Order: sequence, then C-alpha cells, then structure tokens
Amino acid sequence: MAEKTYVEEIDRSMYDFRYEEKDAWRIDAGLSPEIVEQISREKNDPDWMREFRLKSLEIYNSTPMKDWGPSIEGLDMEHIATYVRPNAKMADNWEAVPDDIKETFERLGIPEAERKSLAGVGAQYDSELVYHNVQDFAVKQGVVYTDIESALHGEYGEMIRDHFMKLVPPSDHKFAALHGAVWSGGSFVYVPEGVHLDIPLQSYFRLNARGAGQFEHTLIILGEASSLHFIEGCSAPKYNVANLHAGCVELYVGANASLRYSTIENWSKNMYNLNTKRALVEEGGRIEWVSGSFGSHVSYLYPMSILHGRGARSEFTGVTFAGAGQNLDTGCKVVHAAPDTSSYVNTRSISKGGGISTFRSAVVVQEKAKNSRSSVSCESLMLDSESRSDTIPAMDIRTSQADIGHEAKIGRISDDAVFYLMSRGLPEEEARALIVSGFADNVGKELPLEYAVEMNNLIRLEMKGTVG
Amino acid sequence: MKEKSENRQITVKRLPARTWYWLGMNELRMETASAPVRGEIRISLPEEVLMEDTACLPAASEGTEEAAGEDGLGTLLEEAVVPARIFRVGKGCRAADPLALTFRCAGSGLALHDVRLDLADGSSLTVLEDFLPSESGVKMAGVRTSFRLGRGAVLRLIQIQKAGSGFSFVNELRGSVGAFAKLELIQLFLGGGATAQKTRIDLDGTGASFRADLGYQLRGEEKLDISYVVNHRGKKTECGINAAGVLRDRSEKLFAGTIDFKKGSSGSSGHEKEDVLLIDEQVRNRTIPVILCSEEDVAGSHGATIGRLDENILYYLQSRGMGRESVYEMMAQARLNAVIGRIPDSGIQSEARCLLGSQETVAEGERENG
Repeated sequence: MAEKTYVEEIDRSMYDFRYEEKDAWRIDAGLSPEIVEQISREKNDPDWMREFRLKSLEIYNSTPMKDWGPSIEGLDMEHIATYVRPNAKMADNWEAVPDDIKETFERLGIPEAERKSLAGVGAQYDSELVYHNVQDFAVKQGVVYTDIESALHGEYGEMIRDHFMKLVPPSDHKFAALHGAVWSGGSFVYVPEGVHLDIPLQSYFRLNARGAGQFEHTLIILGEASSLHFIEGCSAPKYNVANLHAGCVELYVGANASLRYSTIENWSKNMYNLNTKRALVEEGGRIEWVSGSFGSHVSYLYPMSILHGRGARSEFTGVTFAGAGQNLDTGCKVVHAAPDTSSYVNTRSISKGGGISTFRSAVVVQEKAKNSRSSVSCESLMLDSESRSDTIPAMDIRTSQADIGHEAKIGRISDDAVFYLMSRGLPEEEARALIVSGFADNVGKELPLEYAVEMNNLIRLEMKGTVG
Repeated sequence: MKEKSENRQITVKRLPARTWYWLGMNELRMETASAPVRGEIRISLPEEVLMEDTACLPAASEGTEEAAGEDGLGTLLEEAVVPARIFRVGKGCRAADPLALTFRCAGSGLALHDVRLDLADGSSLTVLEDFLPSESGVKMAGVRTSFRLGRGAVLRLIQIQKAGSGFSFVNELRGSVGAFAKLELIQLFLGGGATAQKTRIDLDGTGASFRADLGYQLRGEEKLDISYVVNHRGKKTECGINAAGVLRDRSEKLFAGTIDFKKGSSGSSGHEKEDVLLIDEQVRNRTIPVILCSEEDVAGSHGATIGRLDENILYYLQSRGMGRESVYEMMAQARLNAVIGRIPDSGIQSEARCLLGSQETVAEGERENG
C-alpha cells in the first residue's frame, strides 16, 4: 500500500505563553459612544480625532454585516474589551520595560533581532506601545519612526491628519469603521525624499489580554525616490474566548519610491483577524507585499494596491497555511489607475486537518490604465480530504490596451514529481519534504534570513511515512 | 396558461461563492417583459427520438441546486405553467441525425420555452438549438433546457444564438450526467442585446464527463453574462471548459465559471481556460473563474488570457505584409472558427460559418456607412 505522507501541524507552543494582566487597566467590554469617548480621553485626542471616532462608530452601527466569506458568528462585540492598557509607559530601552512584558518580547526574539539586524523597533503589548526605538544612523538620515500617537501631538500632527484613514476610510467596510472608532497604538514612519534605509524597521504586536481587541494603526509615508523595508509580526496566546484584531495599515509610496511591507502573522486560534491594508503608489513607485499567514481562527486579509501614477508597480507574494479549526480567507486587490502600471501576484496555500483556505483576489484595470500588465498565479495544496481550498479570483478589465494573465492550480502532491525525484536517488520521504518545502518557499526567499528562519519554524513540516 | 401582466425583476443568477459586492459580479438581475407566452419551436425530429408535449406540467428541477435567492427561469416557468417538450431516446439507441430545434419568438412580450432531454443508458443524440432573431413585438425570451443522461449516454448539444439588438435572452441549461456518460456542449453567441447564459451541470456518476467549448463575438452595446457551475459529485469525473471570445465597440461580457469538487469526487479533474481578445477601447471584460474544493485527490486549474494580441504575433504577421486591422480580424475569426470546428455535423458547421459571415458583412457595412 502506498504510504501517505504525514504532515505535522504547525508548532505554536513557542508563542502560546501568557502573563496575567497584572496592574493593567481594561475598559468595559462592548461598544458604545461612552466607551469611545473614554478611549479618546485616555488618548488625549485632539477634538478632530474624538469627532472622527464618534462618526466612525455611527458608520459601524449602520453598516450591515457582509454575507460572504467565513462566518464570524463567534465574535460578539459585547464581550470584547476594545482597550487594555498595560502598566507600562513607552520606553526607548528594554531595561525600562516591565519584566513580564520584556520577557514576552525576549521569548519572541525581538530585542535580539533589533540588536542584530534592525534599524528600529516598535513593540505593542495589548493596546499600547511599550517600546519604541530607532537607531541613530536612521535618525541622522531624517527618518521618522515613532508611535503614531506621539506624532499626532507633535510636529507631524498635520501630516497625520491629512493622511489618517483617507486611504481606508471608515466607510470602506464595517470593521474599518470599528477601527476608526477604537484604534489605539501603532506606528508612524516618514522617510524623506531620496533617503534609502537599507536596514528594516519592525513593529511587533502582541495581544496578551483575554477577550480583548487590538486596533493598531500603521501609517507610512515615503518621499520621492526613497526606499524602506518594513516588517510586522504578531502573535497571541490562545484562550477559549474570542479575541479580535482589526488593525489598519495605510502606505503612501511617493514617486519612484520603493516600499517592501513584510508580515508574518501568527495569531492564536481564537483570534478573529479582520485586518485592512492599503497602499497608494505614485508615478514610478513600487510596493512589494510579502505575507505569511499562519494563525487566527478566522482571517479576512486582502492587502490592496492602488497604482495611481504612471509606471507604478505592485508585487504580492503570499503563503497561507490553514490547519485544524482555521478558516483563512486571504488574497489581495490591485487597481490599475494609470498607464503603464504592472502587478504581479504569486500566492501559495496549504490546507490540512480540516482547515479552510480561500484565495480571493480582484484585479481592476481602469479605462485610463493603458498598456497595463497583470499576472496572477495562485496554487493550492490540499493535504487531506478533511480540508477545503477555494480560489475566487476576479478581473475587471476596462481597456483593450492591456495584457492580463491569470492561472490557478489546486491539487495534491504530484505522484509524478515524487517519482521523478525518487528516480534521481531521493528516498520518498525526502522527495515529498522537498516538494512541500519548495511549494511554500515563495515567501521565505523574500524575507531577511532571520525572518525566513522564523517562518520556516512555522512551516516546518515533519514528513514521516505512515500507513494511511 | 397563466399570465403575469406586470414587469418585474428576476435574479437570473447568483454566484455559488460570492465575493466583494463592489465588483458587481455576485448576481445578475434582469427585468422581464410582460405577458409570458409559450414560444414556438420548429422541430426536426429524428426517427429514434420520441417526443412528448406535456400539458400544463409545472417545471421541475432536474436535481441541480439553485443558489439561494436565485429565481432563474424556474419561477417564470412555474408561474406561467409553461408545458414542457420532452424528447426521449431509448436504451442503447443512437440517433443518426441531429434533433434540430429552432426557437422563434412570436407574439409580444416574453416568450418562454421548456425543453427536456432524457437519454437512457447507452444512447446518444446530437441536438442543435438555434435561437434566431425575434419578430416584431417580442423583446425577451427564455429557454430552459434540462437533461438527464443515463449510464454511458452521450449528448452533443450545440446552441447558436443570433438575436437582434434590443432583445433580451435568458438561456438556461441544467442537468445530471450519469456514470460514464458524456455531455459535449458547444455554444456560439453571435448577437443579442442582453444575454444571460446560465449552465448548471451535475457530474453525478462515476466517470461522468463534461466538455464545453464556447465562442462569442459582441458588438455595439451588446452584453453577455455567462455563468457555468459544474458540480463534481462522482468519482473520476472530468470537466473541461474552453471559452474564446472577441469584444468590440462598447460591448461588455462577464464570464463566471465555477468548478466545485464535492466530497467524494476523488480522482476527478476540472479545467477552465478563457481567451478574450479586446479590440476596441471602450469594451469591458469581467472574469471570475472559481474553484471550490473539498476533496484532496483531485486536480483543478484555470487560466485566462485577456487583452490585446501578443505583440510578437502581431509583429510576425505585420512583417509578412498584413495590416494591423487585418491581423486583428484574422485572429478574431480564428477564435470563433476554432469553436465552430468542434461542431460534429458539417451541415451545422456551414450554417454557423454563414451566420458568422453575415455578422461580419453587416459589421463591414456599418463601418463603411460610418
């Protein structure tokens, strides 16, 4: 009888640790104007931001739930605390961070990564940033990397007001509106014209609290002809109640600038991950999304690129691994809104042990986007018949002067490929391991080595032959 | 027959797996004309085929599930109590000549047809359905063709539509393919104001197979909405969908092809390919090829190529002395002729080429007259 390859579940034990909410302050669960006002007071918001939050809450309450995608019936906002403040002020050195929080990030490898290979780090614990630091060489180049709330009250306040939730307005969808009402924490990055930051910046988000939400906002503005690699990571311990992540990322890529935005998402399996990410790319600019989705109970995640200027370019490389108890609906959206723009999408998904993986995409080429090109490739691997894999790509092309290609494949490990490798001398077990590792390598090779190692830890697949 | 006097909207189709509503692809609603009547059919009946013209038999589902919220033609047929025409082929019987159905729309308002094809085990039949321009007064027609293929049966169904502009048409095809049975479908869309073509195929038996070749050419303000849903239920079932088309002027097209591998369909394969040539600036092409999969041991794929001609092909042919417009015309014709070439009957092939030729003649005249 042919041996069936057994693929281990992803090992999350290194992330599944927790600390008591010692001395933390937690807002009442639920959602109301009073709660939003209370958050606004905690944040010492300017008036415009307080009004913005309340207006967002109105939009949230009046927007119906959508009727497509994974069910989020298990998410009850009446049992989610939208703000949990740890007992820690934001520090710029790890020694000033309370021990339990510091140990959390040490176990996650953040301080070490900062020492070895990062130009700056922002670490968020529940609803607040507890650590933020940027290396001197970056500061000297004029790079601004700070928590967004400090920036809101400082010299960049007007810049933030001009950009905050303009790319992702509260009316975009129900959970964008929720974000607008209760957002807290997150980072602001500004890279001046002509500056190339060769070493990445990183934000890491840890949601330790039980039955809570994290709603960080990331705003990045790149001046003309600048470049940046920004990495975000996230994790949470697992609880038996729902947690919610509804963050928002807005990226403004100036003319001829280049931004790589890498994410390794590893939320716990009680998390509802309803995140929104969007980039606006000007003439000659370039956005590269690198996305690894391994966690959450339910995910809705579709980074979107708006190619606004002539010759703008978008690349999206992603891998999604859906295991038992997970329903991950991921993909991307691209709008070609100018001539000579191009987009390239390359995704992989793996479903195992009853997991559900859905690839969902939209490519829109507007009338004015003459000579645009787009190529979408998505491949799905199903490792058993308990799982499910769906692909739902859509294309809307409104000009004849375009070149659009799309391909998708779904299936299991190819017996022919295994035979080929075995005929070259590899044992079957190694052959299958090689195929599966190679299948998911599209993301790993785009990351800095340390993060590729972390990602490989997540997707390390123990290939054992068992009779099945 | 009951008549409904007021116009109303029906939901002709809903995608089995919906996506962002702002794309406008999840469903299609059409306004129905008033006063449905049973349409006229001219029938050429082979001797091996038995025909029953039922009286007042409500339309029945042939086992394919409707997406929730979808009316389709079913609602209209049931409300109007349109009798069905049932064509049967007996066990082991192979009809030498095709069954030819020419749908003409007489009278006014909405013309409805309910056609049922029942092929017993081991039988085979070729069916030609011609949808021709409406006569005066008729603004809309709906044809539902249902089928059931017994074990090892083979149905070759050719549908050719050439309706006038200003005419709305709903063409629904649905049915069940039994074990080792085969459905070969060829569809040609050569004209019509607004056409909704909805196909639902259940590959129920082990080894059931379905192949579709469809070609379309749209001009002016024509709109075409094509929806395929193929449900793989049996083991080792196969489907292949090949769509090739040309969009001109300000025409619009949406192609939604869903291949659904249900649990239990191990060993099955499903492939979908679309090639769309966009000729003029103001066309609009939408495509949503979907694969849904609950079974590990299957192979599914889809591919789409949309836009202008490959520049290498264009350069090659221009370097051989052809003008750009001639190259585009030749490649447009090639796409449609490839589909016509799949028609198994030479007489029907000739007829289709004539229709395509007449479409080109009319278009050329319009261009000359400015």
